[in-house]
Amino acid sequence: MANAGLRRTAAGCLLVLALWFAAAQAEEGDQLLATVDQPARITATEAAPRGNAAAGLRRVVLSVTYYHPTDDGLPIEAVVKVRAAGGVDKDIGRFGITPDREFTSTTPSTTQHFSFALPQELAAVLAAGQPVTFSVHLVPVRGEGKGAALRVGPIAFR
Amino acid sequence: MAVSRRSVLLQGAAIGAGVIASGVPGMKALAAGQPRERRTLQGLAWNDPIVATYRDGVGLLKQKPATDKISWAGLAGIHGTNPNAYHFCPHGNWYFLPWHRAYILTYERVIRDLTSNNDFALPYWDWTTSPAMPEVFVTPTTPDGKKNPLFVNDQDFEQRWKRTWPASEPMPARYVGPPVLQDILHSADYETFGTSRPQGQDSLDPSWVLDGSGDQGTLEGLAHNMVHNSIGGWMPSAMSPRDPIFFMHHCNLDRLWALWNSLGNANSDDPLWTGMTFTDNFINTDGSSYSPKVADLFVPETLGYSYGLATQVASAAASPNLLELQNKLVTLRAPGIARSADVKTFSVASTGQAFGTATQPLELSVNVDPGLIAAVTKRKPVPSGAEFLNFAAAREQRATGARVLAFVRDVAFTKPQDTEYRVFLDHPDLNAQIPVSDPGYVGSFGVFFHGEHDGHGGHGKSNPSFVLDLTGAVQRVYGSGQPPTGGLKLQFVPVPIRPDASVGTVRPGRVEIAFINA
Repeated sequence: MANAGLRRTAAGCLLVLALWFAAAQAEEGDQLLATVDQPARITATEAAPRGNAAAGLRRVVLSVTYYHPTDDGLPIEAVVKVRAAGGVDKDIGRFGITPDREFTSTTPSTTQHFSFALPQELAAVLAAGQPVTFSVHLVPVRGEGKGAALRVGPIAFR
Repeated sequence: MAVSRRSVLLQGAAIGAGVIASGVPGMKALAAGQPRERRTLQGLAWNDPIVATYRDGVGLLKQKPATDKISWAGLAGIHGTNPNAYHFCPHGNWYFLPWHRAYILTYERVIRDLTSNNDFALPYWDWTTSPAMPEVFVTPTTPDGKKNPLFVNDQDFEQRWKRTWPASEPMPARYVGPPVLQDILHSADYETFGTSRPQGQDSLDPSWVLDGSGDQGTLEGLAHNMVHNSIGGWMPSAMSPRDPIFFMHHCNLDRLWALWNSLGNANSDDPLWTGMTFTDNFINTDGSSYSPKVADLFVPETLGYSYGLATQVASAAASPNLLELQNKLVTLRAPGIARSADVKTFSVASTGQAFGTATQPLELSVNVDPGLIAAVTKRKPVPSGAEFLNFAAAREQRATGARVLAFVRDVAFTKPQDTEYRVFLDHPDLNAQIPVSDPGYVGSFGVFFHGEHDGHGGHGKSNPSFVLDLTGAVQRVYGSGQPPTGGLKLQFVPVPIRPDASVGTVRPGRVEIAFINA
């Protein structure tokens, strides 16, 4: 077990600059639930890394703790955007949930995570101690997307 | 797509071309141990031996009772036990790619065994270059009137299963297009490329294989997941291998892994990955268990197949035509090397022309010798390799014959993150709505770029350049008529990656057309 721990530490030094968890800021309404009518929003604040550590961040990882597909079974995609305070949304990627079935994460092993490249300019914003807001938008591929919902959990930076 | 002369000879066979080809006397057998080449479905006719063998194999598997381990339902049960529950298959962690490599290998071996075609290799659906579902999967019957096992209309688990994606509609470029492919292939390490380890993994306990808490990147999270979900029917479910197109999709993902490696990217050497054994997950053709370790699955050639990628040193040494072609192409690119006599080039600059937009594509007309175009259109269809049961020989044949490339140089552009730049040949009414299935479609490129200077530009001092193979488009557009008198017209139209995207503009600085062996 000790050797495994050393291996993990070594791997962490080689592959991962930092691992931080951002605290979700609860605002009015369920800001963490995305439907086709409203995106989920989560803001990285004082729990985010600062200074040189933040400047080295390369990727952001979003977690999904709940998903419900569309009522008619047609596909839906999740589009991820990010913006600094006072800025405009910038697309950083998109994903889908497979299998396309309802799930609720009851343990860490059942939470799904999706990784995206973090724009350099936003890593710099975090390094300066400023908040950055991520939003997840559910967009129907076909049909209207009724019934689709997705809940985001904590985000992480690597 | 035109049927080749070879496939006409095989047409009408009662039990499929794949089975017959292996028994024809006088055919050269593959040397023992030579990997079979997995090929793209694009351009393969419905009765191409590879397609026919796959269809026959699927049909034979579907005839077996579901209780049989080696049956269509039995093998699918390795992946998922019901539509809502995975069985052995990992998703959302770094075992995703190696496990599926072994899984589709199982099917490849079973189909060889059932059809007695030892030269069969799974074809793949390259959804970047051919984004619509392959035609051989979307018709309920084959052209000879027989039921098509590759078509899906099933009743099971108390519901009917049918694909819902329109047959001729391409998969969206935002899932599988060239910019997505670039993003995938630019992944810096394995855990970004192929999904990361599950969170907290600290041992080789097999339970980690089913822990889906790893970080899914663009390959799994976008291209893999959205193609599954978009097709519909079985594909969005844990029983997705019940749809025969599953294996074409996963073969392409497997190919992208091999391609990423061939570009110089190393797999993880972490023993928590390399040392994981998929114990009793898979089946050999004799029904015994196949239990590979991840480290056993790194090199396709050792598993009996290849994608013909550059790392195949042994086959390149035996391919003089291919080497000669590559040498000629080098004279196009490398400064200081005299141009080969078999290479003829023509070029045009875009001086003074406006940028191409979604509503006003840019057209560049290159004056070329019409005789050279005629030589390309007269190029004979190249056999798949089944005539000789030697795909290396087929690749050698493909390296001969006239071909034409377009070097699109010094491309200025705007909004690359929202735009796919499509190229067409001589389309009379081109606009952004013309689909990639149009005969005049040549290809697309995207630009991986993080900033713009003064509204247009590339990475600082130099704009990017691209090379496109025009051979197929020239044959489709000019093959049945006279070569154009006004020169080859290459057209550039920017297309938004997403419906709500603000599409950019494009203007190559120069286009150079190169005819080789014409």
